Amino acid sequence: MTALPFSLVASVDQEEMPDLITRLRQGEREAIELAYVEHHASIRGFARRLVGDETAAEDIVHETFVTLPRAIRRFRGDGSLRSFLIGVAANHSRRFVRSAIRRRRATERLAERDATLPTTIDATEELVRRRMADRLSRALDELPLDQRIVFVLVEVEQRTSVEVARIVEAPEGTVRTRLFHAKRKLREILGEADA
Amino acid sequence: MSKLDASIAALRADGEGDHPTLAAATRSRVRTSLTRRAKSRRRLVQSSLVASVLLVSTFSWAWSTGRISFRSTPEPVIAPEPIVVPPPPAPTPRVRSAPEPTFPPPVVAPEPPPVVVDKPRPAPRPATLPTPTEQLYRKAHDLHFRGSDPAGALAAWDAYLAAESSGRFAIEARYNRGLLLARLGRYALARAALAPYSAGEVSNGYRRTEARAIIERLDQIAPVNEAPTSGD
Repeated sequence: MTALPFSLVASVDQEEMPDLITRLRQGEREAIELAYVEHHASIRGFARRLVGDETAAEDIVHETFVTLPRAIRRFRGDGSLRSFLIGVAANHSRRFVRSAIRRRRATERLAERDATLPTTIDATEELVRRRMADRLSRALDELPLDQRIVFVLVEVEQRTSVEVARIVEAPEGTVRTRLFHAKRKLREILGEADA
Repeated sequence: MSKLDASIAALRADGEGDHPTLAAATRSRVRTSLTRRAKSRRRLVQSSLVASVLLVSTFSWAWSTGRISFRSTPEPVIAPEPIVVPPPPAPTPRVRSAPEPTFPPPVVAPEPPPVVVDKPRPAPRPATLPTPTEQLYRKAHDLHFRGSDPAGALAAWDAYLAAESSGRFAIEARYNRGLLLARLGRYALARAALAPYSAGEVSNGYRRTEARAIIERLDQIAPVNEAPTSGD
């Protein structure tokens, strides 16, 4: 299956009703629910890729929409609401990333302790993919959060650096620099892992 | 495809897909959190409102009853009444009995300088019932300045001081009490009552000049070693 690039998906919601923003600014519950219905899948996908943990990702989605009435005051309308929501989610992700890292490390320690137990080798495509994703998530744990967010947005979600610059509220050059350092470090980590 | 690219593709696919159960659960969680936040915000507004009302009403009450004031107002200054000391009796031959108090001719205490109040008087307070101590003060004040019964005025000042020994008008009350004691011929007590004022120990020299003049006059009338009169 070929995924639609996220930048194209994001452009769809440019057509959203301007009054939704107004209603969100007024803190209308129905408007928040509407925004949730429209955008939760994107936020959840980004959060899962960023933290590599289902529980933490749900926490980020929850926090994003609960704090939306206050956060929407910063929305200037120069980008899509979806991009703005991803920026909000990225801002909330810091503590959830930490908790996801702790959880992942605890799981690894547990796995090492139980390494003597017989395991069934399941080499299905899904399992291989899952393992590769887990390995990248563990490698991402070694990056600073700013680099991690930029890497996920640009490389994994295939957003343009212009859009990412708007989401993370940083200059485009900074985004490219963060991405460069992130990729270099990830190659090192994955190379070491392969060795 | 490099390892990194393969891992990126795997992670990309990891975030895809519908999660209807999770989505519904989180949506419900968001709804609950929003309700809870709205409730707590409403509660905060209500408690703030109640606190504000309490604060304003307490302040108004304290302001109207004179328990607080915005600026430091000087002690109320009331022009003292001239002291009229009863004239001494005609000289009589010395007897061995206890010496009778001598009454010099009426002495008029020096007039205090006119008091100039620089600051405007505070706005009239809303009509409220005076407190019991205020009533005692008013009664003593009226008896002192408008009555003709020094003993009654003295008793009224004593009653006020018993009720509010360190109240707003206590300094003035003690001074007026000293004047009445002198007027009643109880010189030793009058001297004792006015001594702190004469020494400038009361409220940065309140009535210092007047008290000193009165004590000097009392010294002339009845020296310090004079035995106290009855009742002292």
